[in-house]
Amino acid sequence: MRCGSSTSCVDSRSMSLISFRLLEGRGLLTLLLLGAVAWSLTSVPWSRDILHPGGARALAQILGAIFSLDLSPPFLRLAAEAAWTTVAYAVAGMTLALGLGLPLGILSSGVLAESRWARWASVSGVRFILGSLRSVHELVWAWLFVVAIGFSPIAAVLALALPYSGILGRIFAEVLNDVRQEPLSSLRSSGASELKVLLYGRLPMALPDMASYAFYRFECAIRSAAIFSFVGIAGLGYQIQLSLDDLLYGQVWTLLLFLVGLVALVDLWSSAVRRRLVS
Amino acid sequence: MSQQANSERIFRLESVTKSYPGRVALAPLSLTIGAGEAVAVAGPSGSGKTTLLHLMAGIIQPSAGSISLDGQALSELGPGRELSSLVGVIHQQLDLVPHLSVVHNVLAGRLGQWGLLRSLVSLVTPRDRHLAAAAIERVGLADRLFERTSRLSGGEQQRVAIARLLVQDPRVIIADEPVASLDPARATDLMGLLSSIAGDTGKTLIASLHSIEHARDYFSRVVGLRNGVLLFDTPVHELSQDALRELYELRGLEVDVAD
Repeated sequence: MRCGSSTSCVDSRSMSLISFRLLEGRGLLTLLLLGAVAWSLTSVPWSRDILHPGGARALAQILGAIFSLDLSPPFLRLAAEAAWTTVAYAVAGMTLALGLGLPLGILSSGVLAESRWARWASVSGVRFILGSLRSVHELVWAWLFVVAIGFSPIAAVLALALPYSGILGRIFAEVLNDVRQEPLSSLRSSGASELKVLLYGRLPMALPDMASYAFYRFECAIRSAAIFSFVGIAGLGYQIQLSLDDLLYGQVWTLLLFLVGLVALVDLWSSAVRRRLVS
Repeated sequence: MSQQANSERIFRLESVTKSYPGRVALAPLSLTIGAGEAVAVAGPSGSGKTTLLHLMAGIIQPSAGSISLDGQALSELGPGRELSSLVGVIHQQLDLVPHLSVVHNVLAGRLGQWGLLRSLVSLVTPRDRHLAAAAIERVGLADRLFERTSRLSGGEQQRVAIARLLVQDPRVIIADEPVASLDPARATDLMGLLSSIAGDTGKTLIASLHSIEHARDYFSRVVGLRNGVLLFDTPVHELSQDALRELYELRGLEVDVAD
């Protein structure tokens, strides 16, 4: 860069000084953080028990049990039923979350607002709602709903639906805002209102991304539904807990394989759907 | 194609200017265009062609001056049904929604006329199907109506955009460099199609062009813009080499060379 006048020359020199300082500062911060990590390692009691007494043996037992899976027909039936319950919670929860998250996402994207004020109101108002739904973890929701309505499937479904609608709404709003603008302005000049632009432009263009994100969330919903046993709701996690209590590690592994199988199936399904949407 | 060029005025621009912070995109410009005329807007890149066309299409508002369309002030016309029945726009490319099938992209030309429910139902079972079929046949893509738009080539997609305009059926077609992204043979093809459709249906056609050849072949009148200033406005057969030289002359470069 050449300097056109003396002032811009001074400017560029002080600019490079500032950016050098910034760089220096960043390097210093990195060193400090690395030092903090190293120092924190000294407070770990390495010599004493990291594992509790007999922990190593239990761990070996658990790992060894992978070769003695419980594949007896009655247990397989039990595992399949538990897996079915977990999937049912996840499907119902996701359905509700989609039904709630899509309209909230559209509102919080602000694409339908006619005036600047309406846009501000809908974006910030709905964002607050979405944020509140998200900020409470599904397990905490499950806890609250179990207290309120007992160990019913409805508690599990609602506990999934609320935080997931918050997450889906947030992502959907971003995707709807990020679509290419040219086709939209072309629809407008064909006389389309913003609602019709949403139907004919934004939603079709955003659909592949929205679908693949929803599938990813469905996977998460299965995992979450599986650990609802922590608050006493039935499903795969509940069976895992029972088998662990009885020290039947072979059964635990069988149940875990069911969980892995479920997630793999969802993955296959999602990539099949996405391939059809994108091509 | 100089049919009744002055009998009815469709466009009247009076001292229209457009400026952005620190930049004047269009100096005061007055222009009238008759119904059914075919007007080419020529000029180098950055001369204000797109600004002028977007002003006439009501996409942007002038900083000063007035534009009247079919006797009404353009700024008074409501967006949606009113404006879309008067003016239709086609761009260089990217006008279509690639994820929808061709039929929906064509029928999007009806969105100004349709109510919300009809628009929604049409996404499931296309409404006014005969209109879409006739339009897509006119642009020569009859067998592609239910294909996904993203599968079509660039030139085919521009044809679909023209079919959408046919379905929209505005009185004026504004084309912003409609063939700039196509190879020469396809560009000539498409320009011919656009011009014959406008001629057949008596629509006014206003297009910005890079190639002066297309202006000679398909237009009756040429408007020359340079740095946002109207340089000439002349019937195409009176267009002189001098005027063209002045329009495209690389003044900036000459200054650099002399420096």
